[in-house]
Amino acid sequence: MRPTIAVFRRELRSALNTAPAYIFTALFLAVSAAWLFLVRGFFSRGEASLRPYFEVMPALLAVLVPALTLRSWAEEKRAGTYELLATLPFRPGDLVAGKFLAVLAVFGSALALSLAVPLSLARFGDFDPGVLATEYLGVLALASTFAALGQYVSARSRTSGGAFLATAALLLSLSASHRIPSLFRLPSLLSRTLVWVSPASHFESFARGVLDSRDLAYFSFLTAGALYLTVKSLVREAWR
Amino acid sequence: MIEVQDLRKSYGSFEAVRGVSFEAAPGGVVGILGPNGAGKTTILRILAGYHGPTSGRARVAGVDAAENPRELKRRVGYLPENAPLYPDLSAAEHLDFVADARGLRGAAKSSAVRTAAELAGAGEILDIPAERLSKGWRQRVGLAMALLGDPPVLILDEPTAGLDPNQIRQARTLIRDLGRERTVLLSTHILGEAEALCSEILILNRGLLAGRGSPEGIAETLAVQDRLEAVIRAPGERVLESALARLGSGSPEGFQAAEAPGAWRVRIVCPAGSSDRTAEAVSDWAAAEGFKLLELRRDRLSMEDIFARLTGEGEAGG
Repeated sequence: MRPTIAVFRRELRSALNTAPAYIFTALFLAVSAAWLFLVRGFFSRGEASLRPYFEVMPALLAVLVPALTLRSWAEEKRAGTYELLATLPFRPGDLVAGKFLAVLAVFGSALALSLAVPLSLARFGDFDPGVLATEYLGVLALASTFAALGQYVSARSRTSGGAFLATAALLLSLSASHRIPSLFRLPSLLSRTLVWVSPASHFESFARGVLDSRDLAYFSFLTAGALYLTVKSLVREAWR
Repeated sequence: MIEVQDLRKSYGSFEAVRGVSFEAAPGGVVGILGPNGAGKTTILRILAGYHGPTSGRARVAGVDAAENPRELKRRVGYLPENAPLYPDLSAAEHLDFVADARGLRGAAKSSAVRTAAELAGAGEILDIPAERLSKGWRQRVGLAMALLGDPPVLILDEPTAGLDPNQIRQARTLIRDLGRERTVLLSTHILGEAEALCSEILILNRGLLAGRGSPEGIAETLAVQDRLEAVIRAPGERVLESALARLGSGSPEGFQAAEAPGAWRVRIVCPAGSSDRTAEAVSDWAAAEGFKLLELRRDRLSMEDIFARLTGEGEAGG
């Protein structure tokens, strides 16, 4: 655990010293609030629901989370600091876990700040704290999965810019895949697969305040799988 | 302390290291000397646990690089080429991170950090972010990171590259001192550096070991020949060619037309230390043959020539 904490602390230090974490937080708060109040017109709907606020999360995070993960590995390799990291007595798993947790910590702080939205709206409606907690858990699960996938893409990318574009493209297409069956006539097995694959469709039940173990399993499996592949890719690269 | 057996490393179809074996006893500074692209960095990276070998064995302090890379990294302090650092972190933050990685904590951690920073001469810039440090300071921070925790083996890739003469002198003194109690393996492409620092030199060329020995022995091997270059005005190519057979000292390696009309550039090799005598002989010979000697200079062998000669590749001719 201690090596993971060492990597986590170093990552967090760099995150606090450089712009991307702050830009991420500002954009996350501004765009999600603008979506709720300006685009979906919270006050004109006459219904005190935060559903629209969470509705936008898959698309928003698909674009923003890559900004947090793009540097994870691609930048280390470009700058040569990966050689430092890889020759200290860490296991590859320590490195991957430390970096992943640091991204989650930055995201967690942004998410904590976003609590200002439901708190400030509490007097306009009766929000169920249980539902709200489920919704926030869903956002966290979604972000973890995206962060893990972003790590993997960054580990396979040569440049940070490439990592950003590839991650955003991957996350956006994954998140939109459940919409494809409504646009084209497809065999039902394919349609069901496309819906099942999409993180947005698994996030939907969280956004409704429903905690479904199958959705939790989906996010856990994807997160663990992407982190495992990242470790494998680092090990393979050393032996390439 | 370091044992390397038939080590090979390929990147795709390119073989960077093609079967290298050597060992280094505990204590002392061993230098890998070779031109750029010889495979020096690849060997050091394998010994530091950064790359796995394609085949062969590499053991450091009793630990096999392929079998237990993590244990290997505990026993090796490694300074990569160009001392890469995180631009936004200070030297102190770098050392703190390395200390954490090496499992140090509390009083042991702060004392290890202080000792390493002082040894490497980085004590005064601890709070400055790496992006504002000059090359010389960055190198010291990198060295402090390698020294942290007092590993028994230090692997230093081009430790004095990019330093000014003053810093080079200081770095060499430090490395010699470090080599008294630890095993230091370093790489360099500068012959003088290897001679000044190392108790043993390994010469690497194109992924193969081309020679090894003490600095004195290597210097002898490398200095087997001197070379002279003369520009001579002669009445014709045939005349020059037959006259060269009558040259009393040194042996002509060949000639080619020089820039000046009717002049030829002639290369003459002679045994080490006899270039003065040969130069006199060339001048007497030119006068006796009725040629005009336009230029005569000692042509130093370049590093590339030396390696080419050592490995028998492109035996300088024509």
